[in-house]
Amino acid sequence: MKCGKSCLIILGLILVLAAVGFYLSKNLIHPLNDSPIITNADSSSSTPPFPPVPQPAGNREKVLIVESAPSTSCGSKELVFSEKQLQELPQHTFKTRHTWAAEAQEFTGPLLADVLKLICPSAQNLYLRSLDQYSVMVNFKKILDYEAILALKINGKTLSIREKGPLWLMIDTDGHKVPTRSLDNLFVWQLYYIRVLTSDE
Amino acid sequence: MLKLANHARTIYQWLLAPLMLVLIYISAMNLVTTFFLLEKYRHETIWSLEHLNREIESTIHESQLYLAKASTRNQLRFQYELLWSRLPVVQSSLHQDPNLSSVPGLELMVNEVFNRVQAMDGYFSSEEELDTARLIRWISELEHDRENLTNCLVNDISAGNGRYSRAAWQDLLISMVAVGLAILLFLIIVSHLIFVLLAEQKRQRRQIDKDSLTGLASRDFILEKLNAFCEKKTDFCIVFLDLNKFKSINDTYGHQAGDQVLTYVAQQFQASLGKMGTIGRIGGDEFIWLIPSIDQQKITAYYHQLTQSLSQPLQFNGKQLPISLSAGAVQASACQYVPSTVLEYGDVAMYWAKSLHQSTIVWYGEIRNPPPLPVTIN
Repeated sequence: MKCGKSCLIILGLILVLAAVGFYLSKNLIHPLNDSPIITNADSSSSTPPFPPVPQPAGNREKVLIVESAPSTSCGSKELVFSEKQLQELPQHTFKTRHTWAAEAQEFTGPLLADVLKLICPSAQNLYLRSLDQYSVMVNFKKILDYEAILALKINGKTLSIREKGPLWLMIDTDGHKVPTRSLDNLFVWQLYYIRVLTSDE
Repeated sequence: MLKLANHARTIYQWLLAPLMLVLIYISAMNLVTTFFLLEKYRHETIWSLEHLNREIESTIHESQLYLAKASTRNQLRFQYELLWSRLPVVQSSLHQDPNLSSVPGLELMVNEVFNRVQAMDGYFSSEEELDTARLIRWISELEHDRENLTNCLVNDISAGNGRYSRAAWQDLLISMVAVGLAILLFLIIVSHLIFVLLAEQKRQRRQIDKDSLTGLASRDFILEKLNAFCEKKTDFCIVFLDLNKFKSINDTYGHQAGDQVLTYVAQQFQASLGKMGTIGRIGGDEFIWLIPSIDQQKITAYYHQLTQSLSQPLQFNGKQLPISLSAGAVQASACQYVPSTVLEYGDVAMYWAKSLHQSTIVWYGEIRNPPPLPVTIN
C-alpha cells in the first residue's frame, strides 16, 4: 500500500489516540484496585485473642496495647503505651485528603514502624483492633514503604474519641499517590490494640 | 480547498474508525468503573449505617446497664463518644454517594439523630448526678431512630427494587447507553466506508467496461464476453463493422469531425442494433456487434434498419459527411468456438465486403474462395 505523508500523520494520530485511551482508562481503573495490601486473604483463621478495652474506658494513660504472639521470633511480649509515651517518639506530620473528610487534613504522630521496633522489629502480619470492635489483619512489610503513622493529632489538635481518636492509623495517601479509597480498610481509627501475629525469622 | 477536502476525507477514512474504537473502549471502561464504584458506594453506605445502628444499640444497652447500676458513668460516656464518632462517618458517606440523595428523608433522619446525640453532650460531660427520667426519654428516642434507620436500610437501600437500587441502576443504564451509542456510531461509520468502497468499485468497473468516446462497450469488455460465449459453447454470431473512408474524413475535416462521426454512428448502433446483442468499439473505426443468436434473417433485418438510418449524411459545420459501413459476419459454431478464429474469420468477411463495396452483411460461409488472410487481428 502506498503510504504518503498524510498516512504517516494518521499513523501517529492513531498511536496518540491509543495512548490517550490507555491513559484515560488508567484513571478509570483506579477505584478497581481494591485493597491490595490487606491480608484478609487468610480469613479462615479465627480472630486472634485480644484484651478488653483498658479501664477506665477512654483514659489517656493506657492508649495502646502492643503484643507479640508467642509463636513469633520475638516471643510473648506486651507493652502498654500512654499518650505521653507516644508523643515522646519521633513525630511525623503530613497533610492529606482521605475518604472521611471533604478537605485535606494534617495528621501528626509516631511511625507505626517505630512503635513496632520497641516490641518486635521483624514483625510481619499484624492484627489491629479498634475501640468500636473493628479489626483488620495487615501485612506490615507491604505497607512499610507507605510510612504509616499512629496519628495523635489532627490539624494540630489532640484526637478525641469522637474525632476517631485517640489513635488513628493514617498514611500520606496524597504524598505516596495511593489510589483513592484503595487502602480505606487499613485506616483503623480508635485503635487501641496491635498484635504481632507473625515475624520474619 | 480541494486539498483540504481531500485531507478531510483521508482523515474520515482512516482515523474515525480507530477513534470510535477508542471511544468504545473508554465507554466500556466507564461502564465497568461505574459498576464497581456503585458497588463500593453501596457497600460503604450499608456498612456505615449498619455500624451506626450497632453503636446506637450499644449505647441503649449501656444506658440500661447504667440505670440498673451495673455500669459506671465513665463507661456510659465512653460509649456515647463512640456513638458520636460514628455520625460524621455516615454524614460523609451521605455526601459522597450521589445515589443516597434519592432515598428521601435519610439525610434528614441522620441529621436528626446527630442533633439528638449532640443535645446530650452537656448532660454527659457534667459531673452532676444524671437525670434518670431524661436518660430514659433519650433511650426511647434513640430506639425509635434505630428502627427508622433499620427500615430505611432494609426497604430503601438493601432491597433490590428499593429507591437506592433504582437510582444506581439508572446510573448504570446511562453508561450502558453510552457504550451502545459508541458501538452504533462505529458500525455506521464502518458500513458507510464499505458503501463508499463498493460505489468506487462500481464506478471503476463502469470505466473499464465502457468506451470513453462513444459510450459503447470497450474492447476488453466485448472480447471478454466473446471468450465467455466460446467457453460455454453457446452458438452466437459476430458482425465486424468498419466505417468506409473514415481516414479521409479525419484527414479532410480534422479529428473533431472524425470524433463527431464516431459518436453519431455509435448512437445509431445503439438505436438499431442495441436491441439485439452488444456493440463494442475495438479500434479506431472498427466495431464488433456480438449477437447471442444465429437468426441470420433477423440480423440482416436489423442491419438494414441501421443502413437506412445512416443513409442521410451527417451535418458537420455546414458540410455533409457521407457515412457508409462494411460488415462481415461469422457464426461461432463454424469456427469450433475458438475465439481467435472467430475474430479472424469475421475480419476476413468484413474485408471481403469492403473490397466488394457491398452494403449488406457478408457472411464468412458465403465467400467462395476465401483469400489468404489479409490481416490478422490481435
